[in-house]
Amino acid sequence: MELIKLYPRWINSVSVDHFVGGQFSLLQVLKLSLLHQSVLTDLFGVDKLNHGIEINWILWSYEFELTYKLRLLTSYSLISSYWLWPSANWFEREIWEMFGITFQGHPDLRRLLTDYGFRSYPLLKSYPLNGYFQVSYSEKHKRVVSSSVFLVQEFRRFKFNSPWLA
Amino acid sequence: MARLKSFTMNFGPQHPAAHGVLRLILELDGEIVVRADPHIGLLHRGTEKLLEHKSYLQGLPYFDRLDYVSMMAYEHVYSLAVEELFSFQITEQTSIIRTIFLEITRLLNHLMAVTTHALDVGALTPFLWAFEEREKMMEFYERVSGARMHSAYIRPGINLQLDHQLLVDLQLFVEQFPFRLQEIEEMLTSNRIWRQRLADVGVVDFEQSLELGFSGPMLRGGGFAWDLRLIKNYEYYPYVQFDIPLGTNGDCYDRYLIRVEEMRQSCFIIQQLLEKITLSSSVNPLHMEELISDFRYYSGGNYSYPQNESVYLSVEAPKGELGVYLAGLTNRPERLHLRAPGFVHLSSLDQMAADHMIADVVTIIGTQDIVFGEIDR
Repeated sequence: MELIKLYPRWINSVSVDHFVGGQFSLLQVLKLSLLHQSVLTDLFGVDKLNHGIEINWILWSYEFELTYKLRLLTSYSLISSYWLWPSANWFEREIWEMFGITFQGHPDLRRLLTDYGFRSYPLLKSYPLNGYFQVSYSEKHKRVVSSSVFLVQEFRRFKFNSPWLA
Repeated sequence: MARLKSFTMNFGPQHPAAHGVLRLILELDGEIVVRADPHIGLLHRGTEKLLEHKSYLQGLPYFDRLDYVSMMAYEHVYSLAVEELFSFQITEQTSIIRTIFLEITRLLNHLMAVTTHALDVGALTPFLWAFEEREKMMEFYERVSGARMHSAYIRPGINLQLDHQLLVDLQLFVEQFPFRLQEIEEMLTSNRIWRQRLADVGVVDFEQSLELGFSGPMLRGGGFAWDLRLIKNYEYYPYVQFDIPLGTNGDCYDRYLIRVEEMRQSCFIIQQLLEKITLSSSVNPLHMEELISDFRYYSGGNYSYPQNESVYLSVEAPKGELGVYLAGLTNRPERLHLRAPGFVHLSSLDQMAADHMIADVVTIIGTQDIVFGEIDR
């Protein structure tokens, strides 16, 4: 932090990788040390398969014109950063919906992008691209019904890296 | 005395002022909004998931369809991310052409934003004028790429070419555009109804906009000079001069003025770029053997493999800060995440619309300049 204050022009991004424990306290320290001009611009998850879900925080410090990139591997639950930066609200809802990571203390953890009543976590690698269900309007029932997905042609997945080398 | 209970109203998803498919649950106390709960995702296509199954070049056209009023801004940020991932270099000419089209895209977006906002508030005429101008700009899109809107023109690592006549026509366009803008302004800026509907509505001060994660014109409305075109120094922006308009009150009227002034600045930028550009001869392959290897290179899903494991970068899209995270070590992305500016802005609707009249909700949605392609992804 001292280094940044000394050389604000020369450092434009700081990344903290895979820190252990105390996720909330680190964010809290950052929030305090960045004074009032900080903003949480982005928060997203990446499925790292056996290693768990990697959660990335992207923070802007307007004072020093630099970005903080924090990442953390988790597989279960985190403390919500909503109380530090309210802009985390929808980002955390999206992560919960897409990866199943819960955020403790989030005021309103509901589904955001998927359909009402949707149940799986679609951005996990284990979730198939086609999904499990499709919906259509049923003339008989006079409502939208869901059925298991049926495609005439399978999604063509090219296993080789290049058609010319295969 | 009977206590009045607030009642709940459904705004959208088919309301024309909802700018697409926004279902907004409004809790009302009389005509005053107590709580606004946006339900989004009606246009969710799972772009991020789909892109994990496409090669880097195949993924590009999806980006046109995210924010369908500023198409090239999205193509560009994806191209930048892929270039950083692969450590590609582009020529200066390509960089200038990209910057020209990025500014055209900014004009396209802001024209749409300002005039549909006016349409929501009740002024139809500027909308019709703006669409004539938009049509001219889409013609430029068409002349370089063959498509009016979903152009797939800016591509990762590919050098761009223009013909000379297009530059001449661009110059003509940029010269006449400020007059069209003035006509639109004459209808709105000092219009009594327009001012009454916009001034002191949806006020977000600087502190609040930081908390809510605002960017772009929404942040500058609060008077904070923050433009990633200046801070990040990407493409040709370090070599052109332009001003950043700032607001003082942080209300809808300020943001309208900012967008109009940004259009003027965009014209100014394009004019400077037109002076700087020197067209080199074609870089397209001329011999059959070159053509074959060229085709193999582009259709084969990239021969070279990414140099970096993951990149995160952000640019100043017309709507605000547009970030992209791209990770992958093979010929397709392992994970792609988009930070859509509209997503963050819409999430603040509850705070912005609280204690406003129900008619002001329309104004606030308009000033946020939301497009559901990017929000729902």
